[in-house]
Amino acid sequence: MANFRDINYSTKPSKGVLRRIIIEIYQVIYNKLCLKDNVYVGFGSTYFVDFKLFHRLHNFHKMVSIEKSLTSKKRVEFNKPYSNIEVYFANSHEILNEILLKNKINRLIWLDYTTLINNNILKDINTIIKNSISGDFFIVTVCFDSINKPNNIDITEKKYRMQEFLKNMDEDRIPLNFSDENLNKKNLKEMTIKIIESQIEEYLYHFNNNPNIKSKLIFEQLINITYHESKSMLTFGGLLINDSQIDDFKHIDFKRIEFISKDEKSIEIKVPNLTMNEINALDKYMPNGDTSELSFDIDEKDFNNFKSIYRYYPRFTEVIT
Amino acid sequence: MKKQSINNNKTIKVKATKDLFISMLVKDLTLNDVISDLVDNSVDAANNNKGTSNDLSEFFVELTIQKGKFIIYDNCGGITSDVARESAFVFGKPEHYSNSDFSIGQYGIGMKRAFFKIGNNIEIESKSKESYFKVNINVGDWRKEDNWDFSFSEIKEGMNNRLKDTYTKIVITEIHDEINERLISTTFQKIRGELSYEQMINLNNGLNLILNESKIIEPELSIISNELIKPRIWEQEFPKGLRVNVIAGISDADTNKGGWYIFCNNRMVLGPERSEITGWSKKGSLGMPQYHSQYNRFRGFVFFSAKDSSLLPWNTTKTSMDLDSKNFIFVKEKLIEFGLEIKNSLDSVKKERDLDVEKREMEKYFEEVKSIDIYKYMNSESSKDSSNYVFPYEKIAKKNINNDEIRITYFRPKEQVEKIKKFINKNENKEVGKYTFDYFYQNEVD
Repeated sequence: MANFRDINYSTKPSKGVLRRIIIEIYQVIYNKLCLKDNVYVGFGSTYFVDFKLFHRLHNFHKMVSIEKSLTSKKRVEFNKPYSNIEVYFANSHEILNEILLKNKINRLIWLDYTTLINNNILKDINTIIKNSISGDFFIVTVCFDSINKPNNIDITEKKYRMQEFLKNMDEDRIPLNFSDENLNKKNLKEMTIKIIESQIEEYLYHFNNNPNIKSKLIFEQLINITYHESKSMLTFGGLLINDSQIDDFKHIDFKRIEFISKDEKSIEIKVPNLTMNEINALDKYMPNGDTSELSFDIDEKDFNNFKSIYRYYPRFTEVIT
Repeated sequence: MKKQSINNNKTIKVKATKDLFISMLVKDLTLNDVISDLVDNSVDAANNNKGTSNDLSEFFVELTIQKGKFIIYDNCGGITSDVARESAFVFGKPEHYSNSDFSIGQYGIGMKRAFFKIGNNIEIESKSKESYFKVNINVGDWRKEDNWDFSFSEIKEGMNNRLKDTYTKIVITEIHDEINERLISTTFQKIRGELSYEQMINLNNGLNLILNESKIIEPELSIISNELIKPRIWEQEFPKGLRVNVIAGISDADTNKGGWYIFCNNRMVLGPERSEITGWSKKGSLGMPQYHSQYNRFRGFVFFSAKDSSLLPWNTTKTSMDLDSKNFIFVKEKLIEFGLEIKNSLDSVKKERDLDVEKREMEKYFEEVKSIDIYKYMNSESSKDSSNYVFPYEKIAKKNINNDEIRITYFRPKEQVEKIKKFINKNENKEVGKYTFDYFYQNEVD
C-alpha cells in the first residue's frame, strides 16, 4: 500500500487504463458465470479512485478498503465516496483473513501494493486461496523496479540486489534458476511472476488436499500486465473456480479483450503523451484507422499504443465542483 | 552342429545375501530405535489382550540392559507357536497375516532387526495361552547357512494357560562390541526419557515399564483449560479410516516442553516438536517463527489413530513423520493455523513486558492459574467442547498497552540522576527519564 500523500492516484493515466481493463474482464466473467452478490476488496487510500469507478460501472453492493495508515483515519473516513464502503485500518496481512471470513460471497480482490513482492504479499495470496469461494477474482499489483546499490557499499551490485530482496522474502521461495541471477528489472519481473505462480500452485495444493472438499479449486490466470509510471508495476491475477464450473468458464470468449494474458508473458500498457485536442482527433480514427489519414503528426508507435488503450483511456477535464 | 552350451537356461539368478539383508536392516537405526521397537511389540501384545478397558496395569515390560547382556521380558500374552512358525520370524509381514487393530508394529521387522543390531546369540522363550516354545539363534552360524529358517529347540502345544501366566523373554548375549560401547554413551542414557515420552499414553494407562529394575514413569504434561483460556480441539476423519485428534493450547512456562507432541496409535513419534516438520522455524511470515523461550507455554498434542496401522503417516523407524503423506501435509497446515493463533496470544503476553511490573496483568494471572494434567484433560468433558482457542486478549493482555508508545531503558550515573530528581522535584527514576526525553524533544526535534 502506498502513502497517499505521495501520489494522487486519479491522475495516473496508465493506472486508469489498468482499472478499466480489470473491471471489463471482471464484468465478462461475472455475467457469463452468473455470479451473484459480490464484494470489492481493495486499497482505497484517501482517493478511492478504483472504488468510485468500480461502483459506478459494476454496482458492487459492498466495498471494503484496507488502509494501513492510522494517522489519516478521519481523513479517509471523510473521503469515502459512498456509504457502502467499509474501511479497515490495518496492514492487509493482519486483517485480510477477517475481512474474507466476514464477507463470504464472491469477491473481486485487488491488492494494489507499491512494494516489491515480499513474504507478507504471499501471505495475503495464501489467505485469499484459503478462504476462496468459486468465482473469486483476485489481482495483485507489485513493483519490479530493480534495487539500486549505494556507491559506498563494497559488494557487487548483483549480490547486493539479491541480499536486499531476501530481507523480505524467504530464500526457499526463490525459483532455482533465479538464485544466481542479477535482479535487474527484467529478471525481477520474470522472477516475481514465477514466485506468484508457484505460490498459487502450492496454496491450491493445500486447499485441494483437504479431505472435506467436494470439488477441486483451479486458478485461471487472466491478467499479467505491466506499466511504467514513475515506477514499474506488474499486475497479475485471475479467477479461482471449482473444476465443476470449469466448462462454463471455458466457453467464455475473451478474444475481444486484448489485455487478457494466460501465460508468463506480460502485456505492457503504453500510454502515449497526447494533448486533449490530439486525443479527440485520434478518437475519430478508432478502431480501424491508420496514421496516413491523420491531419497532424504523430509517431506511428504512439498511434498504435493509443489504439490499444483508447477504450480505457481516462479523459481528464478541469472542472470546479 | 555345435552342441548348445548349458547356458541356454533363460533364468537369471536373483537373491539376497544374508549379509546384505542384515546390514540393510540395521543401517540408519540407533540402539534406542531398536529397543523402542521391541517395547512397541510388547505394548501391541498388551493392548491386544487388555480387554475392553484401557487399563494396562496387569502388564509389565521389563528391560535389562547391561554390558554383555540384553533382556526384554514381558507378560503381555506371549507368542503362539503358530505365529512363531508362520509369521513372527518372517522378514516383513506375510500377506495373510494382518496387523492387530490399532497396532504400532507395522512392518514385521522390529524384532528381527533388534536381534541383528544387538548381539550374536539370541534366546527366545514364549508362553502363550495355548503353547510354549524356545528358539535359539546364533546369528554368526545362521549367516553362513543357505537355509533361512530357524528351528524350535523346545515346543509344547495344545496347552491351556491363563493369560496372567503368559510371557515372552528374549535374552541376547555376545553383545556386539559397538553396542557394549554405546551403553555408557549419553545418547543411550537418554533411552529412559525417550521411552517415557514414547509410551506416555500406555504408561498412563497403567503399563509397568521397567528399565534396569527401575520403573519408567510418564512425563508431566499439562494444558490450561478454564473460563478464560481454552485449548483448540480439532478432529478429522480421512478416507479409509485414519483419524486425527488435535489439542492445541498453552500450559506452564517450560522451555523444554514447548512444542507439538505427535502420536500414532498412542505411541509418541515426535515431541516436543518445533522444527520445520510442524511448520516452526520459517524465517518469514508464512509459517510459525523459530521456536524460542517466548513460546515456552505452547503445547500441542496430535493423535493419529488407525485400525490399520499402515495408514499412519510415520516413517518405518517411527522416529519421524512421512513428510510426503497427503494426510500429514493437510494436518501440518492445520497445525500451523492453530499454532499461529497460540503464537499471537503469546506474543501479546510478551508485549505486556513493556509495561511496568505492577501493570502486567497476564503475568499475574499466569502465576495463579493451574494447568491440568493432559491425560486427565483428554478424558474430561471439557475436552469435548472446545472447538475454538480462547484467550483473554481484551480482558487482560492488551489492556493498558498503548501501541503508540515504546519503552526505553538505559543506565546513567546515580549521582547525576539524583541531581535531576531534585531539580525537577520528582522522586522516581522514570520521571527523570520522561522529563529529560521531553526536554530534548521540545528543544531539538519539535
